[in-house]
Amino acid sequence: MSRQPALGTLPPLVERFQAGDRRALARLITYVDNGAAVEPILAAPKAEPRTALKVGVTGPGGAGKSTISAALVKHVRQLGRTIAVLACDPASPFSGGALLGDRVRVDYEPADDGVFFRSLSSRGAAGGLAESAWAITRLLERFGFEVVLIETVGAGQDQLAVRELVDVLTLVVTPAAGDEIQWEKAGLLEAADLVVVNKADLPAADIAYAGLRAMLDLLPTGGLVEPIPILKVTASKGEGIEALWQAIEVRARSGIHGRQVVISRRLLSALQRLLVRRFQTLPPGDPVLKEIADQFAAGSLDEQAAAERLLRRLQ
Amino acid sequence: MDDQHPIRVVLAKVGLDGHDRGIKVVARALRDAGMEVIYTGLWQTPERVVRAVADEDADVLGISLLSGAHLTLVPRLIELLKVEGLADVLVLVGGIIPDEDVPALEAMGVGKVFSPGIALDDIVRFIRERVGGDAAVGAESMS
Repeated sequence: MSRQPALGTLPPLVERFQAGDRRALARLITYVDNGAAVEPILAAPKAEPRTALKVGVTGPGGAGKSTISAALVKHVRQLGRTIAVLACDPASPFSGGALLGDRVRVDYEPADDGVFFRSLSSRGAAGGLAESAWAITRLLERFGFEVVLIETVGAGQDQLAVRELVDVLTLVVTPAAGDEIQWEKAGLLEAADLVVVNKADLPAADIAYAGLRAMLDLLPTGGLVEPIPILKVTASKGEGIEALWQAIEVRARSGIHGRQVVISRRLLSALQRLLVRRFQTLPPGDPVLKEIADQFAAGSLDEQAAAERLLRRLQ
Repeated sequence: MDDQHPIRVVLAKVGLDGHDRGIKVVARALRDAGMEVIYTGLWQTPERVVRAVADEDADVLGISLLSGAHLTLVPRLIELLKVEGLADVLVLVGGIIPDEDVPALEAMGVGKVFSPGIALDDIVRFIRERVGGDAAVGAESMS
């Protein structure tokens, strides 16, 4: 079996893909995963553009992402919508191989064409997500799945590639991972649209919830973003899944995405850079700056007041 | 030879037995050999296994059978693979298979039967030899 398309074989395969042939979809995913460009496939004649609701489920290993994804698949099917899952796991840095076991959790009906599950190796890509994930998501969307769920391991700031790919990003944590400092540093919290505390039946879940709520309320968003919801779920029992799906849909429809958090962070950084630049380009011996510095040194202006005077000078 | 792209292997335990240590050892060995291993778990039905092979576009299907049901389950699997246009997938069977049944299994389309105690290297080598080289077989093979 070839893992690259032989010359001339791609157009008939694309036609079959457009006609809804599932085997053609699976084969095209392989080709794209192995580096074939997706644009010619999507641009093929008679192509119908389609959009899917793209949901990301990320979190550290052991948080229960796969179980939650599986429960969401079941729920989405019960609602009568079609769903494709792209489950991405890291490749071994030594061998380049991968153990892809997320499929185990999903209880799909083999004859149900409304579910599609594909396991993907990161193949060592930075960002924790296979480079081909974007292209494969486009294929699944074009094929007609109404929802595309992308599952990835997310344990740190360097694993945020999935943020750019999805409409709604859900971060899954467990009470066991309750170290607040770890989360602050991770940076994942700020990128999420929704946070899920899984294994909510454990006693530590309420503590984790309170800690997360406090951290999320402190995010420097300047009032641009509604508070990020935290949901409690016990995926193994199917509890909280319906509420989670509703929250995902609300988030997707409202237009207030995690992207707003990214935008507000970028605006904040831009503001900081602007202030620093203006401060640094004040002419040497600027009389107002000197006066502020003298008063601050003498103790007649505290830091806060000095900063406010400075701000007025910089405008 | 197309050995820059990882070989994709679906591993499944079909039927009613619940011992998975052996198959997990094989899974890790294949991963360490650079393959992408999709483990589908215990108690799989032939229909679920074939669906996984199809959607994952696997090159190889490795089935572990300890329950003695190989002469019913394997033909069903091979039949379903044919029906789904997956006759090119290399099928390997491992577990407790009596020697006298091996020729029958190979005649019905199993690429190789691996008995317990087989060296993991042998499995890796066999897969690479059978799957690595046929770059000429392209999309036309899908029917």
